[in-house]
Amino acid sequence: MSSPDPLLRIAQFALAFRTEAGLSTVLDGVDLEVARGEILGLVGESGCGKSTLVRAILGLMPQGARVLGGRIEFGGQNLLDLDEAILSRDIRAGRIGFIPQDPFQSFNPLFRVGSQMLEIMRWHAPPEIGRSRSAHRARLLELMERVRIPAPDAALKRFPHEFSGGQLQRLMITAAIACKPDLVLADEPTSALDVTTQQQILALLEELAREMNTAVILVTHDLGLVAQYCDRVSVMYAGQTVESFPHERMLEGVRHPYTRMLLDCHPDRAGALKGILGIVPGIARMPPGCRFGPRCPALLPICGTRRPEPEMLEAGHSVQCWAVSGSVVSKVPADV
Amino acid sequence: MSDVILEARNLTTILGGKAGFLQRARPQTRAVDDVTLQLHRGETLGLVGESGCGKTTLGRTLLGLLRETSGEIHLEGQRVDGLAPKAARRVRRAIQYLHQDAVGALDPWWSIGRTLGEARQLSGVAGDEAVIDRMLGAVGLDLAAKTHYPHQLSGGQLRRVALARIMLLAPKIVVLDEPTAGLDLSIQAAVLRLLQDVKTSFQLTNLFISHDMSVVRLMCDRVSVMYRGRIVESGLSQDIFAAQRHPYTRALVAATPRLSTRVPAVALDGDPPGLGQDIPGCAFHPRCAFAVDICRTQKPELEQAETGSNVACHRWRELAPANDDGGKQNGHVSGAAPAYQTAR
Repeated sequence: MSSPDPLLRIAQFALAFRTEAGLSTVLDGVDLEVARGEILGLVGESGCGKSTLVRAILGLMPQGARVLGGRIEFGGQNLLDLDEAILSRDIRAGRIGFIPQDPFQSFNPLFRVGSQMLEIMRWHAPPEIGRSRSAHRARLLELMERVRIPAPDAALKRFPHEFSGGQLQRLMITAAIACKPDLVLADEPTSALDVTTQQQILALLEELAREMNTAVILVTHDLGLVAQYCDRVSVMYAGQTVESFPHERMLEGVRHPYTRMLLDCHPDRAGALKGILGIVPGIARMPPGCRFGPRCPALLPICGTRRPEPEMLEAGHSVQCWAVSGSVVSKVPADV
Repeated sequence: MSDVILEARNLTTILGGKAGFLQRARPQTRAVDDVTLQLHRGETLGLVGESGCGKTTLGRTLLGLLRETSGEIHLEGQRVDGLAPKAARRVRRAIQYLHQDAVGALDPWWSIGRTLGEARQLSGVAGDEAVIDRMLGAVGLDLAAKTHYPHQLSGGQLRRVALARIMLLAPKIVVLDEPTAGLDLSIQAAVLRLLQDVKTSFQLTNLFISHDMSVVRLMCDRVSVMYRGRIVESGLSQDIFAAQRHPYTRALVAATPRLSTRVPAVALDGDPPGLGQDIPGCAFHPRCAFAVDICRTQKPELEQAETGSNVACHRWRELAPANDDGGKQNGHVSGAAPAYQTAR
């Protein structure tokens, strides 16, 4: 967390959507840092705002969304200050690549995959790759070879429906890293795929990212994948980042009750199947105080009234929870 | 064994081959190829494999929704195969199916109460609303859910409704088709616990179709692994997870994300083969690290490795089983790991 010059620093970012009940805060005080070349796992249940955050980084917010405050600093610039024209020319697909959840819906079915990927490169390829179409093509072929697409030359001329899901997602990786981005956002990139394919895809993504020193934000709800691939983990709940910690602390050192309960839901945990009672609150019905309060087994009186402040436990590990922060309560419930 | 409730012998289902209206005939596919399996009363049998391996087709054939091409099906000692789908469903009412896609399986225009009411009528069991109320309670739903429509409920709640609906039909065997696909881990845990509770209180026998080995390990007494329509390995859950004999099972277990390991799994190369192409010999050989000449020409038969466990691989005797220790220890026992690596 405290790296001097992170690639991406999100500070107290807050975003609201216009709903029937007025403005509802969807993201509320999100803090996140990603260092160069780091793989960050972003976890939480559906509806916690993970995808909204990823889209906000890309500047893709739905109509009626309003930024309430905070900063999204990327390479020293606040992305929230940038013009849409500049975002789409310089940032999106150029310096920040995106791998979506469903590869089947992300390629245009009417165009050959080659022409779609070359189009991206035409607008976003950095100067060191070259400006010519043949240079772009060479780069794509080289990457497709790396992600093990059989006969890349012929594959460029094929349509999306001629590929399997795993192959399409490998092409998506190709497209996302073709312009040598500094950061790749992968939004549940393997949830539509088989376990065997999932490992191939993530292993490839990790290999390429490490080699090119590209940072990755891997959005997932599978803590097993986080354990295997990520250097650091940020946990989101109901639009807030509740805990961030380095990978080594994943099994023993996590402190927030939500993180612990998420871990306990994993089938690897003996006698799992406890689940977490209740559901993520809808955006119009956020509880006051700590948003996890209604589902929390370590609930304190203060949790219902005041929101816990982010607290740094030690380098790289921060948590927002009244029951953990020593300033208010010294004892932490042992068996949360 | 006397307590076999459902048995399939040499079951084969061929899909395609018929031309429809304005439709070319699709090439024929042996989606289920000579499958023999037994379901013992009260157990949960896991059926695992990648998408397209024929798990769902096998489930639907056992149900009678698809007509088997050849082979026998015995339900509680009686032969029930060779029937057209409608008649087959009548005879096989004791088998019910929990759809993978709970949202798609419920009528969006019908309230939950009406959907469940229809199930109660179909069941022909005497009873009234109280039966439905009891069932809602059994799957952990509030009675208020009856007035709701599917879009008002969450994914986890919809699975509960779908489960309540088939339970009203008083099944003895339930085919659970990827019951937790697409659910969050927190919801998955709750749904799995519910399935266990319902199984116990209604004395069910489950066929649990899944590709998630960590869930299968948790839920199943026995496991059968399918690849391209054939069963390649089967045995007691604890034995299979302790030591896999077939290279494919080994790859599946290795590919399962683990909380406790940092070591990325050995990825299985290539995609599952398309159904159209015909693969001579062992269907797995193009992706297998141990394939030798015989694998390319001769189909391995399912043979007994020890009591209760079978494997279909030409080389299982030479390849020491891969030990899986739950990721708690490092390294493999019995030298299987080095063999694997040199072969690659």
